[in-house]
Amino acid sequence: MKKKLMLLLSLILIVSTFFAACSGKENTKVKEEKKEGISVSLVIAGGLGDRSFYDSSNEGIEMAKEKLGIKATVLECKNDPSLYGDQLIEASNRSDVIVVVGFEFYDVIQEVAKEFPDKNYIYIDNVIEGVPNITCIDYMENEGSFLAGALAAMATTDESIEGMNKEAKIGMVGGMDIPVIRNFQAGYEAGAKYINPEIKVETIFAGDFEDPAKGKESALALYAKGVDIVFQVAGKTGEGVFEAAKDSGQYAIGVDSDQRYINPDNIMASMIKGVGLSIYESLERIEKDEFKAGSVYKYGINENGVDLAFGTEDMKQIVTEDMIKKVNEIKEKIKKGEITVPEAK
Amino acid sequence: MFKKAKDNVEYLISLFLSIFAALLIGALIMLLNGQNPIVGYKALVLGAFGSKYKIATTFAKTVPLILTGLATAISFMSGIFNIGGEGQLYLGAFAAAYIGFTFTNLPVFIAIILAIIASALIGGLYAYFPAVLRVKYEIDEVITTIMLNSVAILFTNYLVNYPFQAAQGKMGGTDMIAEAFKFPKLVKLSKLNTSIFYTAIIAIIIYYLIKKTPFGYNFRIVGENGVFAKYAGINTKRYMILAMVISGALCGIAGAFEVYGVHYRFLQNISKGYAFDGMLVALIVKNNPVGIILMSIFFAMLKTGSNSMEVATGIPSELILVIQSIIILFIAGENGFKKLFKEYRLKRGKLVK
Amino acid sequence: MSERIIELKNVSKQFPSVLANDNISLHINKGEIYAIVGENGAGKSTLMKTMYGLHEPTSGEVYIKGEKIKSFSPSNSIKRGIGMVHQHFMLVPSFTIAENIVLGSEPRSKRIFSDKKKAVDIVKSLSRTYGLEVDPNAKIQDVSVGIQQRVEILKTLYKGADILILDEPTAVLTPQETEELFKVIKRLVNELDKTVIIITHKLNEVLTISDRVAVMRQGKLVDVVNTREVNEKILAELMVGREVLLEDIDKPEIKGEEVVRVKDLVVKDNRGFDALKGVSFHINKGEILGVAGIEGNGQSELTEALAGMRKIEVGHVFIKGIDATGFNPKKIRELGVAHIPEDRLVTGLSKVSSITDNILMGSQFKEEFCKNKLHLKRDKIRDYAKKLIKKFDVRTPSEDVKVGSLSGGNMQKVVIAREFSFNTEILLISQPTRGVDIGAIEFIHDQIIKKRNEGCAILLISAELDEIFRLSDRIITLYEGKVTGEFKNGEITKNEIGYYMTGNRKEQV
Repeated sequence: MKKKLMLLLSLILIVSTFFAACSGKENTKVKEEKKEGISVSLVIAGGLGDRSFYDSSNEGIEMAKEKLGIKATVLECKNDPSLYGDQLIEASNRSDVIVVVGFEFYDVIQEVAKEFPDKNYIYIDNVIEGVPNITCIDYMENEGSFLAGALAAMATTDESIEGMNKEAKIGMVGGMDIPVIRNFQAGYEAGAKYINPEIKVETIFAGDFEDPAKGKESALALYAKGVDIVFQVAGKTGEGVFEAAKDSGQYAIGVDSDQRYINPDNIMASMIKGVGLSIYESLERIEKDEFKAGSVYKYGINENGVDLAFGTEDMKQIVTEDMIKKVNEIKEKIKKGEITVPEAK
Repeated sequence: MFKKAKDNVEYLISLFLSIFAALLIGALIMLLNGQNPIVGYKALVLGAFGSKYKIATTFAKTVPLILTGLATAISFMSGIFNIGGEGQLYLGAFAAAYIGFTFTNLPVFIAIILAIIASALIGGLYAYFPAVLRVKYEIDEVITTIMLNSVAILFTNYLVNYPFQAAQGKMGGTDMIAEAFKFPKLVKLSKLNTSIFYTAIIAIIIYYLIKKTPFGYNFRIVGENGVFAKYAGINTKRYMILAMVISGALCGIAGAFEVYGVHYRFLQNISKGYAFDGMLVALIVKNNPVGIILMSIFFAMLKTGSNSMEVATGIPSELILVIQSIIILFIAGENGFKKLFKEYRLKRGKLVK
Repeated sequence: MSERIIELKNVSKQFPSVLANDNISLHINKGEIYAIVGENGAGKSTLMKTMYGLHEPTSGEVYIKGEKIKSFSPSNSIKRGIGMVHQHFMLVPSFTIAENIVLGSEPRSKRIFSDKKKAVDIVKSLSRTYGLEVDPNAKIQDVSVGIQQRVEILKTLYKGADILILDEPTAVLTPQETEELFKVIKRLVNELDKTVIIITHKLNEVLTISDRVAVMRQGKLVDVVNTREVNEKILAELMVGREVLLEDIDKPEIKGEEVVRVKDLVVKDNRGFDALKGVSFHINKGEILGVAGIEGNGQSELTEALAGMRKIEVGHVFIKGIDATGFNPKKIRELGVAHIPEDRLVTGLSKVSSITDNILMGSQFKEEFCKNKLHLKRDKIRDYAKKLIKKFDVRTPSEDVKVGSLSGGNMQKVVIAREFSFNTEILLISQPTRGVDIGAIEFIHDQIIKKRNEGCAILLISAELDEIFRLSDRIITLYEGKVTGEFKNGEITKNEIGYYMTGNRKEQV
């Protein structure tokens, strides 16, 4: 019996190896046909599937594939610092343009870029100045968070929205207590105070970007304190915040990409970073030869780099028309420089 | 001699069978995913050894594995279980980094010695407390060391984001250590640096300690049969504490090497479970120092190779985790294997009278 | 000619590295007491397990009550009427005797609930029928070993056994209890028509109880003899395969000075009760002091306290005039004490280590084996191990073999080789020949005597009265943590000492 089983298994193995080998050849053919267009690698510090930061960077790449006809590969580091260098080098060997997503690459990108002077590095989410082939895209998270804070401050005292209490108390769950996140926090608090100087903003750092359970715990703690709206700035950990909002019938604000679709009943809005857009625009500039290598592109409200998103049209809005109007007013004021949003580093 | 050799041979056979079976199951998973395992494994091997750079990258990854593996071996063989290597590594790394960015004017040699000593001390100290709790009050060291991991990781997290935040750039790390202190690289671009020589020296010392000295003998006997050791006049408590401290010190040094050889600063995520990988390595080879080195190379190969494999073939690198787990599962069932093997031999009639 | 109730034809059993039974043919008649003797490792247990169906022979045939056995399993054997009493009892300590006896086939009320009252009645009638007195409601943990053994026998009888296999039944019993057991066995056979197979290595018992004896050696059946026609010496020679000399030993007058003095010793056992309640004695140079007593009366705690492995609550231990009370094992050993512990597997050896490593223990820092207290001289150590293996006749293929794979007697020889080679003046010896074969016993006894003649002060604790009487110069009896008597060897008989061992002074008898 055992022998027969072994025989069968090895037979399956051989046959499918053959088929796999054949199909593999076909794949390479397809690739060869699409040879025009620049070759791009996307290197991310975390992993795809966060429905947030990294996924939105991939959207930019996908868009560029479609519209600009680029060839692209994604390399994930899964938050393992020993892989940052490896993957970056792998990418540098493969492609002409390397899109690097994650503040964690600060050291390695400088080291590697030096060794590959003819490659272009687009570095998202951190600022390195003065290296000719590293171009940075810096998002004014604080500006976007300012809008989120203002919206939350307006909504939290509005009892016409189901489940809101009168208390002027809003919350935020941060992934880690690190400078980027503190920049979100600074904008969020400033925005809230702009609407209501008396408002209380409670922040909890979950200590992790990959652990929804911790996010849920933190959010539940905030809701228990009388907070009705929690702004999540925690990557995958934020999924736990959404779950907590659903379980306790409260509200959350998403981050990085428009996350309302995850749960339209509890996620009132999302502060979006135009990660995908900025990547697409950068690649477009390269195609059009308008790219200024070595500079820093700032993406604030003015550049459509950060914004508030309220989901697609078919979703029922939780916030009122007036609130959206007010948010748009604030946006204009920031563009005109009438409001300066504080920064934290 | 004969019998001992036979035991070893039997163990090696079951080890290779386990690895082979794991790779076979890995191949099966690839097939189920519609991928060609031969192409996949070829990409894996090429990814790990395909060029000078790749080989260097693979060997660079062995450094923390060997150190934490040896750390595990010395504690486990002495019958006290240090699961807190990760925390000891973080603290050791931070201590070394602190010396590297604070005393930047020290002569290079002294600074490096100082950093290694500091990391060993703090790692050892951090293991000392749970060891004393275990020996004096019978508080389970497995639980305390696991919990102390989180304490150390979160504490260093706080340190790098507040008091010791890098002056330049937002990246969740401390300042860089002085340029002169950085361990020289051996192969361009790769992470392979002179720490591999230090690691070799440490491995030789630990090997000597375990295999050739009366102390190593005592560690082993304490672990094998504590009552016997005590009966024969060995201070078992002292040896258990000592084993734990050495183990912690090795993990601390692993942290220091990550700082001085790889990242040049302390990072908040400096290790993604090196100590646990090291533990697996040591468990698979039953705390044998030579085995730890070989198995570390194998694990490093899987890790480096799997990423290249993923890029080249689209086979997810997580598959390697599956393979590693299966090897461990089979090794855990080693006795069962041996029995099967023996029964098979019996049935075949190849018998020793 | 009576009925052949069990018959083995050319039975062999092959284990991976050893042929445990080699072509054995024998038969057991209905209504006889059949003894199987042999040294450890001779294949007795394997043979017995084959009869009981615990494993299948590699080749050969087994017939029970004339029927050829096709599928070997204990449950089938039980159905055929075979019952087995293991050396280590398989009882649940917290259950009552009745519950233990019916365990596995409880009488049911309404088919579901086990009927305890009925169980008690069954046990009462069983014990009346077979003359095995027990209190059905007593818990196993509260009754003596002798009673526990009765429970085991009753258990097999309850399941309907008419062939009983007893594995080393007297190993844990006092002389009195042994006598009781033998009465029961005789009754079972003579009056109730049962068949008994008894496995043992105690030859005097074989001679008193059995009708026929099968002698095994190295997996082979050497001979089957009628008990009436042999004596102890013949049996021993058959077992060992050569002449065995258990001669009487000279007991010269002791004139040495006092080396060990124990005063009013109080020591607690693991449960926190007083195991020793004020014990005092002394040992002189060149003297063997035997401690007689039934196991569990404080002997273990006494040796452990003297070796520094157990806390002394009250009292003092003086070694060579130095107050060694509260010393740890290391300091005690430094005073010149070596120790053969009663449980060699737990205390005296590391099973997973090689013989060499076990022999090295205690010498690992000696200049002879270790350069600068740092580098082990492996070659010297190996030579030393080889020398001791030869000197102490440890039967092993090599010095690298793991101790755990040796036979009991050889393991004990490893412990003795190590401890006797320390060149110490005091020896604590506990159960030196437990589970050791006759050939080895002779050797171990010789070594002990040699040590005495060299001037060692020796404390000998043994559950074997024969051993105490054979070796000791002086004997004390220990009962419930107290010394109940002290005698010069020769002043008292084995039977008399039994009364001291159970706490009855001679006067009261």
